[in-house]
Amino acid sequence: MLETDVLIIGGGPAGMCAAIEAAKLGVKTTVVEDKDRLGGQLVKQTHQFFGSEKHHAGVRGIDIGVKLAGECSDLKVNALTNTTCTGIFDDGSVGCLRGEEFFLIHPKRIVIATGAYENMLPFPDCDLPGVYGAGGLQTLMNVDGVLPGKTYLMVGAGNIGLIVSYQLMQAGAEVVAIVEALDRVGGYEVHAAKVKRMGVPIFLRHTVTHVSGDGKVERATISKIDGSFKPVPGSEFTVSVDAVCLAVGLSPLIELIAQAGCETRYIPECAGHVAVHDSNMRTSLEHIFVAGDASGIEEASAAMVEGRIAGLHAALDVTHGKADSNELLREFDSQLDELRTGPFGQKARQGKSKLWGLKLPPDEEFEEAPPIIPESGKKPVIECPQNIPCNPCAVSCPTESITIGDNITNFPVLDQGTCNGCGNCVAACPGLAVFLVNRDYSDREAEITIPWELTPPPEKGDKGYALDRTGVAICPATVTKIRRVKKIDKKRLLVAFTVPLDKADEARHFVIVEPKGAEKIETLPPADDIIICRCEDVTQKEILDCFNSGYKSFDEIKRYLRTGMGPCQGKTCQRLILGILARELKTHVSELAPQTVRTPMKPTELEIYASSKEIEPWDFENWQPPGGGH
Amino acid sequence: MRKTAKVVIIGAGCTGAAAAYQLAVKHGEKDVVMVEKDFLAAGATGRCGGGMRQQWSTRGNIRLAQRSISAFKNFQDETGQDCEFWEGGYLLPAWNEEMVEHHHTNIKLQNEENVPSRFVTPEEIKDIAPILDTTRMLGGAYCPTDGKANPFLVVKGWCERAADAGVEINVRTEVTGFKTSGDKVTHVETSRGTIECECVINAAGGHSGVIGKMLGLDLPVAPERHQILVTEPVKHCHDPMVIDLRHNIYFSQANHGSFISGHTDYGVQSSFNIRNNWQFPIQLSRKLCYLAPPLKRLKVVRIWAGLYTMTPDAQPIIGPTPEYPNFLNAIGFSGHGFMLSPVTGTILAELITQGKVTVCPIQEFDIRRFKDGTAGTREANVV
Ligand SMILES: Cc1cc2nc3c(=O)[nH]c(=O)nc-3n(C[C@H](O)[C@H](O)[C@H](O)COP(=O)(O)OP(=O)(O)OC[C@H]3O[C@@H](n4cnc5c(N)ncnc54)[C@H](O)[C@@H]3O)c2cc1C
Ligand SMILES: Cc1cc2nc3c(=O)[nH]c(=O)nc-3n(C[C@H](O)[C@H](O)[C@H](O)COP(=O)(O)OP(=O)(O)OC[C@H]3O[C@@H](n4cnc5c(N)ncnc54)[C@H](O)[C@@H]3O)c2cc1C
Ligand code: SF4
Ligand code: SF4
Repeated sequence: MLETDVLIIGGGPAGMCAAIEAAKLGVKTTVVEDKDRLGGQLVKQTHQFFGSEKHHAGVRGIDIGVKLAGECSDLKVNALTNTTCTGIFDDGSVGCLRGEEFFLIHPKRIVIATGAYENMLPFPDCDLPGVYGAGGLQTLMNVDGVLPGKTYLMVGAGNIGLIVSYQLMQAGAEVVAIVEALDRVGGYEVHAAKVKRMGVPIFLRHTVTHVSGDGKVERATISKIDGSFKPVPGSEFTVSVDAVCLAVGLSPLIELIAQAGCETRYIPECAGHVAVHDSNMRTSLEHIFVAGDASGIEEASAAMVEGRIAGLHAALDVTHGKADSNELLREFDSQLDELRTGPFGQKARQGKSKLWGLKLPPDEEFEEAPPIIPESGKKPVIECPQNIPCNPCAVSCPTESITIGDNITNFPVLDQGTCNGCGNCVAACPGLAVFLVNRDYSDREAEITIPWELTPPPEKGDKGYALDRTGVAICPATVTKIRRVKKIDKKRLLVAFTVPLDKADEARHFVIVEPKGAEKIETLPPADDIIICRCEDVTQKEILDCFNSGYKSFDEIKRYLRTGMGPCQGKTCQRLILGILARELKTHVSELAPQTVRTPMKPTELEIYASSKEIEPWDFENWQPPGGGH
Repeated sequence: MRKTAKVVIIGAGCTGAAAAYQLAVKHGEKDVVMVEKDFLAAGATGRCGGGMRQQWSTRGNIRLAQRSISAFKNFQDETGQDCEFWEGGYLLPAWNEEMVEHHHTNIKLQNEENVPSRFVTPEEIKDIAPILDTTRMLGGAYCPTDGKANPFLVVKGWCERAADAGVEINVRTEVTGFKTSGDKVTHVETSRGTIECECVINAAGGHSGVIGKMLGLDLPVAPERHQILVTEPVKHCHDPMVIDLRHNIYFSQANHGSFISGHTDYGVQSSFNIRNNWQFPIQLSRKLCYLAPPLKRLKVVRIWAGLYTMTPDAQPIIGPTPEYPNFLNAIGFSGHGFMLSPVTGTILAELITQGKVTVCPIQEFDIRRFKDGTAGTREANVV
């Protein structure tokens, strides 16, 4: 049994920040992390983050992770990696599995920062090899260095779908299209613009209806959908792909929270069931706190601040408030408020308001920033039209020509007069939304400088084509210069190329070979049923049959069909089955009871339990019943 | 929900379901309403090991179990529902002379009741259950006609046939109280309305004492947590249910390949708590690895718990309550109510429709035994 003051479960940005604040107060702090290193989702985020400097804006996710992990180790946080928490018990102890060992930690306070899991989308043959979740794919690509397919269909145009599409192209894959069920792109426009100008079409109000292939994905069929998300007959078409990537959202991972006995509630704005918690991040159980995506899906920036708040309160409980942290707490609160302003912060703002019983803040409409188009000279063009929480363009500018102001979701404003055309902002913008346009390059030509993160990069003198914002080749172009702004970003290149003067406001990407769009191929009929529970191989039909014979709750269906009884404990199917039940019962998921979660969170070998040192070894030769009973 | 019924059954576990089926389908009493606070088999029934055996130490239990097993055998023919009945036998190892003696005594009693149990040598055990380490066993009691069934499917089959015959089954409906007149219970109050009735069956399992309290009765039943675990599925490799009375553990391989195993908590106290503790998987795994070493690398995927409803002699209470003769209990099954449920249902149906029981003697189950000192010996074969 390991004693600690504060135990943090999950070593992502929320968990690491909780550990940092707790350790700063001098209490004994332990982090358990399932993976082989701290970092959580950050480990696979090779792109630059948004946010403000306080939240490491402009830094690549992976580097933020390394930095926070370093702080943890400086503060002597006991970080147990490769360790999974498999249960929280009523006597306050926490069961952990590490390699071949099952042991207990006895903390005074617990912060649960287990993050999120990916939603799956059920469709015929969705269990064919070649259908990936975006997170899993990112891990393969960015952590393990494996690219499991060459041509992809991306499902979902939220930030994750857009970012992963871009990363796939960075890794040399082709993304034939992005489909999105809603009538708008859910992610930031700057992320969408980035892939669109590379020639990836985004089909709004479309979805993947089925995939087919011989033992693996070979083609995907796409269809238009109507207002109630039903495919429009006759609108389907099929493309040849060898992988489909699902980026259809994340759900808070609350299995430990539920197993521990914390009260939970379904809050759609938090993207699922979450622990009921107050603004100090304390759950309904006094000794348990929650932070990060596990408390409602947001961004790493919010996860970090929530982690700090939870860690600090947990440590204050242990020191019985012997530290004046009021100032710090006020600062964290105001950071969260700031992150949750603007239309993109709306969901989080509303979700937390529901949890805290506050009046719901009004919906905020998206404003469109007017484009800034300089008339002459070598000046930046900022194509950043939404109120996103971001400011590296302003921070990186040596002449303070770009300003954002106090509110981080304001639009960037450029003062053309003071700008010297250095291009720092092009190198710094995580949205790749800033370009330099030099209309005075020559009489007939303009020079466009774009940020470049693809391999292989072009070389000076290369001749090719300029693409417009939708990825269409509009004119020939010649590369004039390639450079880096090392002090801003060591990796990113700035590529300058020339185009005819009249194309200066259209040319936004450069390619050597003219792109050809994806070809439509023959559509094959879909399989007639859909797998919902992959562990136990249970289909939609079986679930509906079960429902129609009177079993109308998750726990009942689980008992009859074994859904959710497999190793994943319902991580994939619970959401889908609750969805089916809600539809059939004509009610809302929030009205339905989620499944009962039981230890262990990770299947554990009998021998590992048997050899645990938490109970003195037994002598079966001279058997005495433990404790004298029985 | 109906406002009146001849019989109201409280609880849709195996006991309530059996009673509903026996009343409506077998005894022609269709004016029955069932009330269940959660859903079918939500209580102990849906959490249990599903084992059924005739190897008991008291004549009463032996007889009940025997009749029930033949009912499970014919389950599909009778109800049209496959209940995954599997005649894999039960094996109770003996580790010392005292246990050998104990088993011989029981086998004699069981054989008198025509149960084909017999004492087997360690070599025979190796044949019956190759995964067991028999090195230290002196033999064991074995009955090839013991077995198991799937409790959900059993409850489903009974309830569906009962509903076809006219029984109204109300799930998500909780009994909250009663109305009485003299020594008669006249109404059952529920979260969804009141039902006027002639007769009530208390089949509320672990919560049957709570139901009794609503009538001011102090029923001699105590809920007790029992934990149980299941491993990942593997290819079928083990037939019998093993009950080891020395090491306090039972285990079997379920139809879909998982091993299911549980024990009685050390120092268990009566309570409604059905959460798990960390000691259970460690203790149970040690015993399983010792008994059946080839299972060592199997992974535990889930642990859960349910309530045993214990009586002072570990035998059930079936029949009317002296204070309220139209209030029948079918409670206190002390960890073996699933296997007894078919005959329990018959006893209840006979009591209600005929006023007397022919299926088997029921004095042993009379609640008055605890007050007037006629309670027999405690059932010794419980894990
Ligand atoms: C593709 C993509 C792009 C993103 N881009 C941005 C961005 O640009 N800006 C931004 O702010 N955010 C971004 N995010 C979101 C950000 O990554 C998450 O919001 C953030 O990582 C959440 O942090 P967390 O600490 O709550 O959870 P996580 O980072 O998910 O960490 C949780 C950790 O808990 C561990 N864990 C879980 N269960 C257990 C257990 N039982 N025992 C032990 N350990 C356990 C997990 O292994 C994991 O390491 C992006 C996310 C994705 C997927
Ligand atoms: C871990 C475990 C393993 C077991 N293994 C075996 C085995 O292998 N073989 C065997 O024969 N037995 C076994 N048993 C025992 C067996 O499960 C029980 O004896 C049997 O299921 C009892 O059935 P029941 O219908 O009487 O009670 P239950 O199944 O508990 O049903 C009672 C029902 O009443 C409902 N109820 C309670 N209060 C109210 C109310 N106020 N209003 C309405 N409804 C109410 C409950 O929700 C519940 O559904 C095991 C038990 C456990 C816990
Ligand atoms: S080009 Fe240089 S000076 Fe001009 S706005 Fe960008 S960073 Fe500032
Ligand atoms: S232009 Fe500025 S505010 Fe917009 S994405 Fe780029 S860095 Fe962020």
